[in-house]
Amino acid sequence: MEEARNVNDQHTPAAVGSAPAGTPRNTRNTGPGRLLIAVYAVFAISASARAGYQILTKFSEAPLAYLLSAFAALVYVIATISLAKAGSTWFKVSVAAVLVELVGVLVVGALSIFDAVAFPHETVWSLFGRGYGFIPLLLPILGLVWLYRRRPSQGKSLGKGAR
Amino acid sequence: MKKAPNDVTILSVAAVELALVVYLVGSIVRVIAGEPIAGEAWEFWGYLATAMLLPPAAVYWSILERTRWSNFVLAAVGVTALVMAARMNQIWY
Repeated sequence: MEEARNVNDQHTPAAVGSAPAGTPRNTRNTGPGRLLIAVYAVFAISASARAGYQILTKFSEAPLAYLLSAFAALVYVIATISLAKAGSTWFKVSVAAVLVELVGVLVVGALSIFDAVAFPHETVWSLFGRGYGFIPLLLPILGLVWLYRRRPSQGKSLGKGAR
Repeated sequence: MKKAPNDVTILSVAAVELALVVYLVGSIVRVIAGEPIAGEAWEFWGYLATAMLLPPAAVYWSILERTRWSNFVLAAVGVTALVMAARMNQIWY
């Protein structure tokens, strides 16, 4: 730990906003990405806990809404893990997870407003995530911006042929 | 703000952890004194246990890469702990 700290100290000025020199660029877990991953992790934990609680205690009340809760939790878990991993494959997993999240929050958010009868029970994505300070709506947008800025093929010819 | 996590920012997270410990001790004392928790007891303790894990996890995550962004990670702990404490109060009362 002490060693890692010293190494990072030398890079600190250069590390603001961009990767330290010599670090492979095919990562998303650096700079602002670390905050993004931390927030995703909090949502992964809270969504999982909430879905688990709903399914274990009152699943029969609203199976669809609670299955949706579980699905949302799964998406957050996958997004958290894939954002933290390096490489093009994990990048694609991240893009897929964040896109599913964006579609999910938009569709569920719209349905919960226009068809409140079918969606009376709360999920993370209900009312565009109002119960969570609209962070669920903001998070996938920031995620896509970050993924675009850290896309693997940027400035290199590696992206196309490499798997 | 444009600094790597230092003693000040890490100690501020330690203060959050200390506040949670005080909250924990206070809750235990009140439960032993016979005060009932209005909501689900295990949900309350689950929230408290999770909240207490956040500060050490955030400190670990922020010193792996010491950039100014890690300070925002540390700051997020305070916000999250506040939200969780508000939810715990809802369960309790």
